[in-house]
Amino acid sequence: MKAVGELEHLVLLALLRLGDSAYGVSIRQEIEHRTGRDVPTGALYTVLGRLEEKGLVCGRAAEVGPDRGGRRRKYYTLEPSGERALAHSHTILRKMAAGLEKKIEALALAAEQP
Amino acid sequence: MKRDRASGPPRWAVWLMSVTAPEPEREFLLGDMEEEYHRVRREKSPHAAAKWFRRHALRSVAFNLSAKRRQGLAVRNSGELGSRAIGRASGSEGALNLRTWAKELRLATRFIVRRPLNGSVMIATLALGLGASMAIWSVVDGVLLEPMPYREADRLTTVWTRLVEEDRRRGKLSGPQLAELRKRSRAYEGFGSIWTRFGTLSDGDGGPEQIHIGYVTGNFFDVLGERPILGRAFLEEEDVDNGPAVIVLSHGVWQRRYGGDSQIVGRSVRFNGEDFVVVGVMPRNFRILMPEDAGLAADFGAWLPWQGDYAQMDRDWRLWSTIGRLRPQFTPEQAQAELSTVAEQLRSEHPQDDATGLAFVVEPLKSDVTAPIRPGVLASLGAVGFLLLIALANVANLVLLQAHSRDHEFALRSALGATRGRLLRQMFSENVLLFLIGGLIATVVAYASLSLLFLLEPPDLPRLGGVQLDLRAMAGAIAVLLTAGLVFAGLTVLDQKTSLGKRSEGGARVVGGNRRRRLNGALVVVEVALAVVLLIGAGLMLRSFVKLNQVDVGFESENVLSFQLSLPSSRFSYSDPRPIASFYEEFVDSLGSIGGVEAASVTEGLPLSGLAGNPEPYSYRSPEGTPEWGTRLADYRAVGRGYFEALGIELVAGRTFEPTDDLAHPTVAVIDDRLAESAWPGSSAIGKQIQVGVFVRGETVPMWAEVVGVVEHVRYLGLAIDGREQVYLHHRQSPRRSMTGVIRSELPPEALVPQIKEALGELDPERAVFRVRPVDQLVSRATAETRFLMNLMVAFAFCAAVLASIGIYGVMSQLVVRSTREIGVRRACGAEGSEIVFRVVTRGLSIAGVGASFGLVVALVLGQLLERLVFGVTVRDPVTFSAVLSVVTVLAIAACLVPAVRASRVDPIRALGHE
Repeated sequence: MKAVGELEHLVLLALLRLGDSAYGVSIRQEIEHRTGRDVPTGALYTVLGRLEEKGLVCGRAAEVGPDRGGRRRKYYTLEPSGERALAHSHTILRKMAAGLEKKIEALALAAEQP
Repeated sequence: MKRDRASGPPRWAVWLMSVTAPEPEREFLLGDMEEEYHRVRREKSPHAAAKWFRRHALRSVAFNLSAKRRQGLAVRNSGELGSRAIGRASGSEGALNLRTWAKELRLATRFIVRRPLNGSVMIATLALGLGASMAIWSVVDGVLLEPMPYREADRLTTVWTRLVEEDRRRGKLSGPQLAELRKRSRAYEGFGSIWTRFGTLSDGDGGPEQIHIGYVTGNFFDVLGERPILGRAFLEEEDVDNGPAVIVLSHGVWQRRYGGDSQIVGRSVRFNGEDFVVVGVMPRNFRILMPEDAGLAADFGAWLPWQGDYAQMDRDWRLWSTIGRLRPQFTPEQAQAELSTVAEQLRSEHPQDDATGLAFVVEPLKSDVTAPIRPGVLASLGAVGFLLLIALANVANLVLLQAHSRDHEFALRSALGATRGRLLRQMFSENVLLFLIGGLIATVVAYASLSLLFLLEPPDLPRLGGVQLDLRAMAGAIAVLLTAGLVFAGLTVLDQKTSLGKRSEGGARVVGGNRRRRLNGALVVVEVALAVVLLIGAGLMLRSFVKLNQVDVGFESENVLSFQLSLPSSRFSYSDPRPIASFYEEFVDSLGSIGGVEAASVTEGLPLSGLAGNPEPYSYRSPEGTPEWGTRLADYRAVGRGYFEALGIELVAGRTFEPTDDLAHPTVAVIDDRLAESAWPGSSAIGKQIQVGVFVRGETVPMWAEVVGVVEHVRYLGLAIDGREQVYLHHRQSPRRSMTGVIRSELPPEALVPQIKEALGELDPERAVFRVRPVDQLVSRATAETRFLMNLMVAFAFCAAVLASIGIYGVMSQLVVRSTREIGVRRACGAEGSEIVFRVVTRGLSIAGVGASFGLVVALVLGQLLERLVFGVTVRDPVTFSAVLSVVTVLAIAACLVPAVRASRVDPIRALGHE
């Protein structure tokens, strides 16, 4: 099994956290609130499209929401293969980082200093 | 823009997203963005939301496009949906596939390079038509149309009164009227008023200097919306009786006299012998723009608050030139209605106001200021439009001709399987490429012609320095021409179908060709007609300019230097006019004794200065009796001895003023030949009695005077304005404090000015002369407007003539190619080369002739627009019309000659084998 890309990783994590309420806006905001990354909507949909194509997530069009100019929302859920891919990628990352947590924290701190 | 922001995300960004987003996700993507837009709008502001949306849209484009591409590939590869997907992919190909377009462009370049003549003619058309007209448009825009340089200037209006006693001509406001308006108006936020006086600055660099100062209401600068660059403007509470002695300096005075001292605010300066504290310095480009009849100085050196009780001022003292700032929700029309009501109230409350029939007049500031130049603006705009139309006709013509010459190629390609869309795309890309190159060169030409204009134009024209190429108008004009070109290209390709069909029937393609040729002919007719109109406009301006320069102004302006001088009322009171008279008398004497000075004198006003002098009544004794006092008005001027000699005004009869013509002796007058002729036709005016208004002890009183001399009529108002009859009084018998000095001398001004200052310094070290300038500058300024318009029109007409010639040339060359076979037959039958030349030229001339006749008719109709701009010629001037006709004929012959000669060299054998 191949590891997913970084943005894909973030999106999968967001889906896991949001559960049933994951759609474009909520996913984008989840990522922005937690990481500070302002992902362009176009980029998010590119990733979601790719994940859907790989069969990792499943999207379904739902009701027309407020403030959307009469357009529907599309909710996304993790497929079992998606859950596996997420677990896989995450484990790989964790394994690579094992024992380096202190050092990485110090690096992060140093990077924050101007 | 504002409405978009109020109701939803920016439209262009939505459009960008909906165009680029991949099809199946588009709805959700756009929905998400709009939802977030509204969230940001709620949490922050509409502005922040719009910004968020724009940023996200722009950052999303690349992702959208890559997703779209990947999707297309994925579906195409997946097999089962293959055919549909390919259909979709190739459908979007037109918009997205850059590679196809690059190929198209390469192809187009090849075609253009292979036909350098066609391409370069097209590019030349764009360069001339667009480049020149846009350069001139930029000048018109910058010099004449630029908004007033004040904050929210569309809320500013001028406010005037109309009184019965002033022939209901509009006039300035009196103090009490201003006070009433300030009290009663709701439509206005405030009224700022100003009037001009002289004053002397005596500290700082450069010795005492006389400057124009503006007495202003405390809110004057606030009403204009202008802030000083240093310090502050006046406060309302400073504009009261016994207020603080404060002054605001102009940028020029601050730089010139106080070395641009950045610490000047709070310092005191010496003005009219008193100390004033500087509270502010206005910016360099600050100007007070008001119509001529506001009578403001052109350059103010400083401003002072009036500090008087407006309501208590003399009701007849109408000196306040007033600008009002409307409250945002009020229009000038509403303000006019309100002030009319106020005038009505005042008339019912005050008998004086009722007697004068008081009315207020409101004019938007900008249209009021630009009214005198509006005919010129209209003419220039019309010319810009005409030139663009000519360029448009030329472009259409060239595209048509291009299509003509490629019938064969297109038919072939079409037969080989090229679709109509394919051919269309090729025509389009060729034209887009040509327009890109043409537009680029046009921009260069526009810049170049702008700098040329700057070189040609004397600095008389206001605001020329601020002129910049109007790139938006440029882009707009290119877009219009490009669209027109593309539409024509499209039409020709669609037309191709018909000619192809015909062609297959065997040689019958003439049908489609004839229609196009007629269209070509029609376009050239239009071009020639428009060019004729512009040429006539230019011709009329040219003739006006020549006539203006031939006007007999009645004086000699060369080698005369003028300057202004003003005496302070504190030391020179009108109640005893003798010191004023003797001051000027002594001053003129000492000027006359300067070596190299031929004559020196003083006058109330210079010729061509635009100042009419004081219109006062006169009457005279004639055999038929004395006309009623007040029915005839003349321009009065008090002048010193030697005035007529200094300005070279010819003495027709009698004598000029002498030292003994003073207050102790009977009043005498010198009149102009017009007055002499109308009062005593056929007999000498010398020794006759004339009743004149003499200004003495501060007021004008009717007095009988003896006519001692008659001089030539002089133009005081302007070159084109004859003016009233003229009465000169001797300065010693009608003294004024402010006078203009005139000195006739061969010495250069640089050498003269120090001596003038020295002469004045000996009399009174605190006085200073100002506005020193050669009198012939007044003459050149009087012709500046006509000269500028003439230059513009000539430039337009030149471009128009060149473009129309290009048009004729193009059509005639095409005609020659088309009739190669016919010419060949003629040659084979023994026709001479000259005969062929003659035939081609007559054909070209007949097209030009039709165009010229149309042009003449249009020029006759539109001529009325120029009525107010021309001088000394009628707008139907036969000389101009016939000159233009000859020019057009010569140009048409010249344009036909090359194709005609080419035709005459046609080899009959090859011609018959042609096609």
